[in-house]
Amino acid sequence: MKKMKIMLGSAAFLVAVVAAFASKSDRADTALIQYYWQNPGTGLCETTNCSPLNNGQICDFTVYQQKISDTDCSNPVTLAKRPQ
Amino acid sequence: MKGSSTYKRRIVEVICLLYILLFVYAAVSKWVDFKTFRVQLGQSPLLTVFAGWIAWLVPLIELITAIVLIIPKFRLLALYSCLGLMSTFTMYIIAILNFSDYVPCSCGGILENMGWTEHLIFNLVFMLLAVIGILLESDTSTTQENKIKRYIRT
Repeated sequence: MKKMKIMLGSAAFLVAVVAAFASKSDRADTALIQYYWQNPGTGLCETTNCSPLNNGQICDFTVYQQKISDTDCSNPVTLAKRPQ
Repeated sequence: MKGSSTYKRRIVEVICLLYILLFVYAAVSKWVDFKTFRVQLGQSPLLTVFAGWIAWLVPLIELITAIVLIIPKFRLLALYSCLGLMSTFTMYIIAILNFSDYVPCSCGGILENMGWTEHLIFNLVFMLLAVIGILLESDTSTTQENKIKRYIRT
């Protein structure tokens, strides 16, 4: 029984290590995305460091994935907005 | 009586496996992408000063806890460590969400795709699992100790 417990634990350990390495490439892709926000002061669509992946500045404003023109952003992301 | 004890042991086993998966995955993800993790910690208003050694210490403690969880003899101790770690992470998220304009967590891997609310619920569920594990494990340990004592007397 003890051996079984140790074997199960070790198997879980190895699975987690493999999963961590496997998910690395996933994150590398998403980390390169530049996000935008609509600056209410200037009315311009500007770049922001606020990321929906919980990195950088917390998003208490709407973050967009695309910049259509100097004044228009599109594809809003709401995942990481500060909960109200 | 014996069936109930086996059932309890199985529940503890599942809880330990879940914690091993969680902590090893989180620790290795942090080390695999160490530079990003270190920068993210540096951005935290509460941890900036300690970011250098916390970046090493947190994954190290997670990994040690996971290894200790594998050893049946030290499971109770490891479960207490799990509860302590999860409580610290939860308090950190609550503190930073309420008192800071900056980001709360630098979680490893897919866990960083969760929003704040999901993350809090996730942590609270794991804290509850640790409490259940501690209660069941101490119960089964006491039963086994009593059995051994009775066996020695006879």
